[in-house]
Amino acid sequence: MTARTLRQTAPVPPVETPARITIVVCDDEASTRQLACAALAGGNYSIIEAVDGNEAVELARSVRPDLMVIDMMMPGRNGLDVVAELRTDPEFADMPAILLTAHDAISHRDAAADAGADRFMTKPFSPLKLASVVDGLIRKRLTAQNKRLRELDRLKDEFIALVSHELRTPLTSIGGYLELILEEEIGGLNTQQRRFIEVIERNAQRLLRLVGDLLLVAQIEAGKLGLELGVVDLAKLATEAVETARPRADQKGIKLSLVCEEEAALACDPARLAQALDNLISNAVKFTPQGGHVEVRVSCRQGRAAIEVEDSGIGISPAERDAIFAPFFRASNAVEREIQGTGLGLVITKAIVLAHGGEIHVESEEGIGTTVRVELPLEQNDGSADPAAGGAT
Amino acid sequence: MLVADDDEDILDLVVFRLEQANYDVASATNGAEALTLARERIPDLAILDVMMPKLDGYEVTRQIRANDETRDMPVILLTARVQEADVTRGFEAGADDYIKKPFSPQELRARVQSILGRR
Repeated sequence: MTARTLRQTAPVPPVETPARITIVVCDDEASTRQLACAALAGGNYSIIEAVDGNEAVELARSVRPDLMVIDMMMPGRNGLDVVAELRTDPEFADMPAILLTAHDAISHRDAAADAGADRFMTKPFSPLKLASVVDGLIRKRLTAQNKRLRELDRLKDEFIALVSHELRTPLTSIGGYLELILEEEIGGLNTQQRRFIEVIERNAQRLLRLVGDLLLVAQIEAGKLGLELGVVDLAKLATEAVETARPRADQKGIKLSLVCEEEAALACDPARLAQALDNLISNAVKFTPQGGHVEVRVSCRQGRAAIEVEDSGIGISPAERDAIFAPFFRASNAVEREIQGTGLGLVITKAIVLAHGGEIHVESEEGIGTTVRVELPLEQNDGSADPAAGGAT
Repeated sequence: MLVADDDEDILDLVVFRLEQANYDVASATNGAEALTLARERIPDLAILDVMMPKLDGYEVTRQIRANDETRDMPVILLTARVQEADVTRGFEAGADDYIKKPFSPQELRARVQSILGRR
């Protein structure tokens, strides 16, 4: 009963434990199972034993093993039946299966092949031979899986880029024409008309930002985030970022302040860095409750600029500290409080910082607040490989 | 001035903005038409969308550069693609500048004026 309640209420945190290779060993004789398990013990596999064909099928369906070693001759459902049945399920179409048998007869080999087994071994088998056959099949399976994952990943990046582009074009029209109407070039608007059109415009902007973020994440994931380098005054950049967030902070009664030591010329991609600062400050405001404070501190020392954004917000739990830089990740306390977001802002911010050869660190205590610290070199060694460092390394 | 975009809504918008700034504008909805207009009218500036059927913006730019009469015509590319490679491709084709979609009317006007003022 407890397990059931847990399953229903537990949120779905990203599971970080690396999946181990699972192998099902099925034989009605305990001695054969033990021998096979001992043979595979050196392979860092997770091995599950089954005593008959029914159990093997059940286990296969519940643990989805990466490989199965199964005896051909068993009372009831034998190994051939098990393999043949699993092969009808697309899920098991490419799971390697090794059939064991006491008789090395041609008819047995044929039957094993017909059922869809990958290998056929006669008992008594050499443990070393079994281990090397299993290792070989697993290696082949992993290679194929990796290839498929890379292909899927590439398709995903292409998909995001294509969708972003197709969304951007109509949004250009929507934004452009709304702007024309709001300028009253084609006639005056009454107060209510203006208010409604401003609502449409604000939402079109929001959609556009989202599409831009998606496109940027696709570029980052593909390792193709490029920088257009220029030189800006860091103090000015920070002031603008703070002023951008000011209206939202005022709305929530949050005290938003900027502590800036002096002017400093910073070589960077101004638009991208402004975007990174906007993200950090708007995050701080977003996750800080009514009446809290957000402080932005900018300083320079030994050729490096440091930007700190400190808030008195809800904080991030230690368990989720590392996950916040993963695409689409939303902290559980943010979801609970229904704070809107896409989980893209920090991914983008980190990639921008890294592309500039900088570092980003987060300190946080739940219920107390968060401080994000960004350090950047004041100069970019142009021509060298620095900007490429922002790729998906 | 010549403007080409296969998306007629965006084409109308750009034309409206340029006429508003008192430019005389000819418009085309594909690359082939744009190239014909560029050769017939020899406009002072061509604004070309990159993604167009038949001839894309890069190719139109290349052909404008290849023809003696249109060789010096300034070209601004209009693009919804913002990857660096696309921008580089535009400059390689011979474009003078590019405008990313979505653009503000101020940006459009500023880019046009800066290119025309440079001549």
